[in-house]
Amino acid sequence: MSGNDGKRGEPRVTIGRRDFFKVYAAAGVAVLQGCRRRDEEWIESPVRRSTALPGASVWRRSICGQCGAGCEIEVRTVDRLAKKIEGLPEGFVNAGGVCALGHSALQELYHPDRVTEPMRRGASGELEPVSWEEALESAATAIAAAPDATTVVAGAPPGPLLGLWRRFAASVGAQAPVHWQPADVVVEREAARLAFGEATRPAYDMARSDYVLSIGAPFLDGWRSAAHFAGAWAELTADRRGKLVQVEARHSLTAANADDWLPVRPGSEGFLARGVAGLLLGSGTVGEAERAAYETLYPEAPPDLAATAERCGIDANRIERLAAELSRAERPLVMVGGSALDGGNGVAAGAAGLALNALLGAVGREGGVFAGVDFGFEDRVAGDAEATVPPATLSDRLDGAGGSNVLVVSEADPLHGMPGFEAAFKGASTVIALSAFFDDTTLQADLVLPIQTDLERFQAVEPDPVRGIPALLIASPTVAPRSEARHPGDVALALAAAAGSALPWPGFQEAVEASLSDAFTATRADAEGAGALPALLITGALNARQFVRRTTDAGGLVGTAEMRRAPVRPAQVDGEGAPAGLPDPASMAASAAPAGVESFTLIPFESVKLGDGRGANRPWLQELPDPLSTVMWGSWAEVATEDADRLGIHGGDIVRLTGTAAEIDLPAIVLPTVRPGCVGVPVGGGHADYGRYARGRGVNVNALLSTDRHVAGVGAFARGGVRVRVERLRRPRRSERPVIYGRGLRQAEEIPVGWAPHDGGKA
Amino acid sequence: MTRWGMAIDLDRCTGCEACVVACAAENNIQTVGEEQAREGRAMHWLRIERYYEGEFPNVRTRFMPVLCQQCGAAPCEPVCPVYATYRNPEGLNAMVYSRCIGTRFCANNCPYTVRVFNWFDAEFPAPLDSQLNPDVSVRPGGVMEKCTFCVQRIQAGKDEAAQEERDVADGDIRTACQQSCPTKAITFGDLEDPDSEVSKWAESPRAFSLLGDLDTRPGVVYLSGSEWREPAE
Amino acid sequence: MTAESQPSAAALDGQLLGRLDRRRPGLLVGSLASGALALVFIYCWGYQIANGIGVTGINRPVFWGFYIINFVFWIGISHAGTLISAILRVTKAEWRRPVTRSAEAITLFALAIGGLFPLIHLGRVAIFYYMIPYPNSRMLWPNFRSPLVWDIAAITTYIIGSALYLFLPLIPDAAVMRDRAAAGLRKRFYAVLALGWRGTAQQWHSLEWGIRILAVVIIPVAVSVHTIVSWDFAMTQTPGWKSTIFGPYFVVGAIFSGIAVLMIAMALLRRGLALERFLTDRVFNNLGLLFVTMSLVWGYFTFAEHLTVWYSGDLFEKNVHHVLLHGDFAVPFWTMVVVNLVIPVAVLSFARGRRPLPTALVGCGVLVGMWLERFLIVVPALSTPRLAYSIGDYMPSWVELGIMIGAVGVFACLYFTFTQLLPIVSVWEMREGWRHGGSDEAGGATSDAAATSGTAAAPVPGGGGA
Repeated sequence: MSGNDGKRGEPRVTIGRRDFFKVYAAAGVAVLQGCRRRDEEWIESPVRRSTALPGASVWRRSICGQCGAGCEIEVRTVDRLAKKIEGLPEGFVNAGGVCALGHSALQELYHPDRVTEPMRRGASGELEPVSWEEALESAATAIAAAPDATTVVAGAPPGPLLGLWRRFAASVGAQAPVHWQPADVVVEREAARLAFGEATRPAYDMARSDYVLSIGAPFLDGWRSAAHFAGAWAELTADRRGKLVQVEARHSLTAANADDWLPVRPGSEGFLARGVAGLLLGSGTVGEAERAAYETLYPEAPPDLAATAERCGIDANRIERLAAELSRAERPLVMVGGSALDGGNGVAAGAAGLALNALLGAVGREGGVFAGVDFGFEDRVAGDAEATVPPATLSDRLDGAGGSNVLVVSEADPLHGMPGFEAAFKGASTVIALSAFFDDTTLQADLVLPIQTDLERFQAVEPDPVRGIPALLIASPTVAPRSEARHPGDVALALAAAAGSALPWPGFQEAVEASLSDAFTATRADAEGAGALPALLITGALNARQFVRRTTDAGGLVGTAEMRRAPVRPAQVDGEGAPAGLPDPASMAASAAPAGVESFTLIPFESVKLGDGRGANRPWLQELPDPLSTVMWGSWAEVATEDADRLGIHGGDIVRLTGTAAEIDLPAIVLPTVRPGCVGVPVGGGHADYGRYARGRGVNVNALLSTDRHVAGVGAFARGGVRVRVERLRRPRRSERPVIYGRGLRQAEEIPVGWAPHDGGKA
Repeated sequence: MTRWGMAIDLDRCTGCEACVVACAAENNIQTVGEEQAREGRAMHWLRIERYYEGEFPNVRTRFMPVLCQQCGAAPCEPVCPVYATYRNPEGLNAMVYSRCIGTRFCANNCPYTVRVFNWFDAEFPAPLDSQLNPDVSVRPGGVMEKCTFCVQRIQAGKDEAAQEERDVADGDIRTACQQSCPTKAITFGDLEDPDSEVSKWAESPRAFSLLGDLDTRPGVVYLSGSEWREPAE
Repeated sequence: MTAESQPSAAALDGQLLGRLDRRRPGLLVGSLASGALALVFIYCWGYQIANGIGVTGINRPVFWGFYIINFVFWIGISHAGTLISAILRVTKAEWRRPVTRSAEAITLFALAIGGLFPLIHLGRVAIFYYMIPYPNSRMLWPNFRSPLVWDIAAITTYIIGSALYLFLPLIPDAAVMRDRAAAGLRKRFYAVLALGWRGTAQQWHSLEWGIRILAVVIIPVAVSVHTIVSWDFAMTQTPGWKSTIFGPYFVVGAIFSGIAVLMIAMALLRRGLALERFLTDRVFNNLGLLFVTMSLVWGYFTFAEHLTVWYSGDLFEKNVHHVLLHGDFAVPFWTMVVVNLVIPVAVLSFARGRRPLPTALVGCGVLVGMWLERFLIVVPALSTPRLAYSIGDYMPSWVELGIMIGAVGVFACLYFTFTQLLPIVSVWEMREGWRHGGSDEAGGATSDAAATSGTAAAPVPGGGGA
C-alpha cells in the first residue's frame, strides 16, 4: 500500500503540445501498420495473443487429450516452452478444473524417453531409425498387400480424428477400426440403448440434482471427466443441499466422498437396482406413467427387500433408507458406470440402474439424465465408413485372419491393456504403431511412427457428453512438435496416400475444416435437415469460409442448454414387435465361489494417478500418493483388515494373487475400507517399457483376467467378478516394500487437528 | 497491510490430488524417485492427509490438504540459526534458499510437518527441464523448502496491478492449488481485507485452525462441518 | 600402597615419562587401528559432502538422526574431563592427581569430535560459517534466537576453556620434556609449549592461581554447555522434546556418562601405567559410590520426565511416550533402563562391585545406555509427529555408521598422539602429591593445600629444570 502511495505522489510526466503531436503521429503510424495486417488477426480469439517477448508468459488455450473427456485447458508458455496447464475457467466440460492426469501432460510432452523418429525393425530384429518417407512407404506396402486383413486400433477420443480413422480404414479397404476406449463405454451404451432406447452415453445433470444414487460410477476417480463431475459434485453437496450415495464394492475415491457408501457384493449392483425399484414401486410415491414405463421394461416383479439385502450383502435398513430418500427427493438421479458394468451381467445391471431414472421421472428432467448428443462430426469426417467396433473383438479378428494380419495401432496399447492379447498379437504379421512412447505394443511393433502429444497437435474433439449439450472443441497446437513427431491424423492421411487411396484432404486440420464447411453448407441449405447443425450456430456467418474461420478461432462450436434432450425411444424396440422386457439382473444367478480355495473377488480399478496406465510414465504421477492407499511408485493390492488378520498378512507383505491364467506378486495394503472377500488392484502398472519412470514398475493386473469372460450382450471383456486366490508370500525385502506416503491409519475421531476459532492469522 | 491467507473447505475436498500435481508443476518441485520416496523423502509441498472414520461397512474417509500454514507465530522461524526462514511483511513465512545451510531445525519444529528437504540436488533429465517454471528457482541439495503460497504469483499479480496503476483486487492472485481445484475448495486472498472471499470464509462458523491450540496463528483456515475436527476426548 | 615403596623423583619421571621414549607394539597396533578408523571417518564424510546429505538415512519427518545423537553423546562424554577434574580440583581430592590430565584430554578431544557432528549434519556444510557472527558486506547476523547459535557460543567457550584448562597444568611437564629432549624439532615443540617455564616461584604462583580460577570458572561453563545442548530440543514445541526438565536432565546425563568414561579410563590407566598406588581400590570405591549416585539421580530424572508426560494425558506427548515404552522403541528403551539403572545399582551397591574391573564394565554399559538415551530422545519424538499421517521411521545408512565408528577412531588417534607426545599423567602434580605424602592412607590436612598429607618424605624438585 505504502509503495503504491509513494508512486502516486510522484509527479506525472507532463506532455507538452509537441509531444502530444508526436504521440499522435506515432499512434497513427501504428494504426496504419495494424490495418495492413491480415483481417484474421483482428478476429477475436479466446486465447490471449501476445507478442511473445523473451521470458514473457503466453497463455494458449488447448484441449486436454489425456482422456476422451475433452476438458479445456490453458497452457502457459514461456519462450515457446510449455510450463503449466490450468483449467480454462469457461471450459465447456471442466469449468476451470483439471485433474492430476491432465496436469501431467507436460511431462508427457517433455518426457526424456519419447519416440523421436520413425523406426523400423531391421534384419537384426532391432528397431532402427528410418526416414518418414521410408517408414510410410513400408507401412503402405504392408497395408496394400493385405488390405482386408488390416485392422486399425484407434485410441482417439470420439470426434473427427476417430472419424478419420474410419475413413482411412474404408479407403484402404480394411475392416472397421477398433475403437480403443475405456472398458465400460460399450457396456454403458448398450445399457442406455436397452433402458432409454438410444445407444449414447447418458448425460447426467448432477449439479442440479438433489439426490444422486451412483451405481458403480467412480466419477471422482477419473471416470469420464473427473474435473466435470468433481465440480458437479461440489454443487450437489454445497451447503449440504444434496446427497450422494455410492453403490460400489470397492471404497473408491467416489465412495470415500459419498454421504453414504453401500459396499455391495461385487456383481449384485443390478440386483440392488431392482430391489430399490421394488421398494419405490411399493412406496406409493411413483406416478402412474413412470410405473407403466418401468413395468414395460421389467414386466417381472422386482425382488423383495430381504432377498436384495441377502444378495447384496447390505443391511436391509440401509437399502430401505436409500429407497425412502430417493422417493422423497425432488430431483433424484441414478447413474451407472464402472464396476457395475464390469461383470458378466454388466449390461443388465446398467440397464436396471438407468431404468430407475424412468421410475423416478428423471429422464430429460432438470437434474436428471439426458441423451448424450453430439454434432456428428465423427460421422461427417468418416463419411459412409463403417462404425468402430469394440476392443474385445480384436482377438477374434486377429485369430480369424490366420497370421497375415496388419495391425495399425494408433495411441493405444492393447498389449498392455487387453487381457490375454499376446497370443493373438503374435499372429499379426506386421504391426505399425503410432505412438509417442515405446509402450508394450510399440516395443513389439515392426514399424514405429512417432506422433505428437496433445499439446503439439491441432485438436478437434467431440467432448464427453457429460452435460447433454453437443459440442465440437477445436484447438491449435500450443508448442512446436518435438523432433519429427507428426499428428496421427496427418499420418493416417499420408498412409492412405502412400497406399494409393488418397483421401481428399492434405492434413487433419483441413479435414476438420472441410467437415465444418460441409456442415455449414448443409445447414444453410436445409435448416431442418437431419445431421445438420442447429441453425442458431451458423447465424452471423456469411459464408462457409468465414464460418470455418470463426469456429476454429472461437475454439469450436458449443451448443446451448436448449439443445439437451431426453433419449428418444424408437417406436419399436429392436424392431421386433412389442418390447420383450430387459434382461433382469434379479433373475440371474450369482456366480458361486469356487470351493476349497481362499477365494477373493478381484476388483481392478483405475486410480487417479495412473488412469488406465497412461499416467505411468510421468514422475509426477508415479510419485503422487494414491489418495486412499497413499502408495507411490508401484502397484498394490488392497486387502480388508479382517481378511488380513485371518491370512496373517501385515501391511506391506508381498502377497500372491493367483487367477486361472497367471499369478502376480505385489505388496498388500491393509485397509479398513475394503469389503472382506474383495481384493482391489489398480490397473496401469507393469509396463515392459513406456519410458524410464514406468519401465517394469508394478504389475499388470490384466494378467489375471481371462479373455473368455465377456459381458453378456456386448463385445466387451468382463473384468469384474474374477476370482483369485490370495496368499501371503513373505515379508518384503527392502527393495520390495511399498512406497507409502502417509502411514497413520488413524481413526478420524483421533485426528489431532485440535480446534480453535480462526483469528485471521494475525501475528 | 496485507496478510495473505488461504481457506480450504474440507467439505468440498474430494482428495483428487490435482492440486498436488499443480503445485509440483508450478514450483519446480523435484520428484525424488522410488528409492528416495520409500525412505520418506518425497517432496510434496502439499499433501492430502487421509483419515478413517468408523468401521466397515459404515466407514468414511476424510481428506485434509495440509500445506505450510504460513503461521503468524511460526515455530520454524526462531530456531533457524541463519534467518533462512523469516516472516515477511505480508504474512508469508518466506524461505531464503541461498541462506539455508540445512540444519533442518525448522522442519523439526514445524508442528504440521510440512517442510521438505532437498536430500540431493534436483534432477530434471532433459528435456523435462523445459517445463521448469522460470519464475521459481530450482533448489540445490541440502536446502529446506516448503509451500510459498506461490509467492511468484503474488509478485506477478502485484506487478500487473502496479502496471495498471491499481490495487491488487481480491481474486487477482490465485495459487496453483486453488486454480486447479475442480471443486473450488480452496480460496486465497488478503485476510486483512474484510471483503475478500478468504476473509468471508474465515468468518464461517465452520472455520477452524489446524492444531489451533498451539496458537501458531496460521494463515490457512480450514472449514469443516464435521464433528471430527473436535479434539479427541 | 604403602609409604615404603615411594619412588624417587627420577624413578617417578622414568615411570611416567619413560613411556614417551619407548615404542610399544600394543600402542602401535592401537594407533594403526584408530588411524584406519579415522580414515573411515574421513572417507565417509567426504563421500557425504560429494554426494549430498541424502546418503544418510534421515528423512521426513526424522530430520535429525545419528549425527545429532552422536553430537549430544560426545558432548556428554566431554564432561568426563574438565567438569569432573575441576570439581575434584576445587574439592582438592588427592586422588585426582594421576587422573586429571587424561580426563581433561578426553574432554578436549571429545568436544572437538562432538563439535564436528553438527557440521557433518549440515545440508550445506560449505557455508556453515553463516552461523557465526562475523562482519560481512550483507550486514547479516546469525539469528541469536536460535538455540543452535547458543550452541556455537557455548561449545566454543567450552572448547577454549577446556584447552586452557588442559594446557595450564601441562606447562611444567612440557618444560620437563623440553629439558629431557635432545635438540631438534621435538625440543622446539616442547619449548613452544613450555612458554619459557623456568619453575620460578612467581611462575608457580601464577600457574596455581590460573588453575584455581579456571577450575572454578569452567564448572558453570560445563553445566551451561550441556544445558544449551538440551535446549536444542527443549526450546522446540515438538512433543517429546518440549520439557523444562531437559536442562538438568542432560547435565546429569552428561556427568553420568562422563563418570562412566572416567571409570573406564582410570581402570585402563591403572593397569597400563601401573598406578595401583595412586588409583587405589579406595578411589574406585569412592568413585563407584558417586557413579551409583548419578545412576540413581539419572533414574529419578527419567522417571520424573516420563511420569509427568504420562500424567498430562496430552495426546501428542502420549503418542511419543507410547512408542517409547510399548511401541517400536520399547527394546532400546528398556535396554537403556537396565544398563543405566538396574545394572549400576545392582553392581555398585556392593563393595565388591566397586572394584576397578566391575566399575569399568558398568561404565561400558552406561556408555551404551547413554547413547541409547540420546537416540531415544531424538528419534521417537521426530518419528511421531502431531499429524499422525506423517509418522515415519529411521534407519541409519552405512555412511552414518561409518562416521559414528570413525569418530571413535579419530578420538583414539588424537588421544594416542597426545599420550605419545606428552605425559598423560601430570608429573609435577604427582610429585606434588608425593611431597604431601601421596598415599591416601595418611590423614590430616596441610596448612597450604588442605590435601591429605602425611609425612612429607621425598624431596621435591621445584620445576622441570634439572
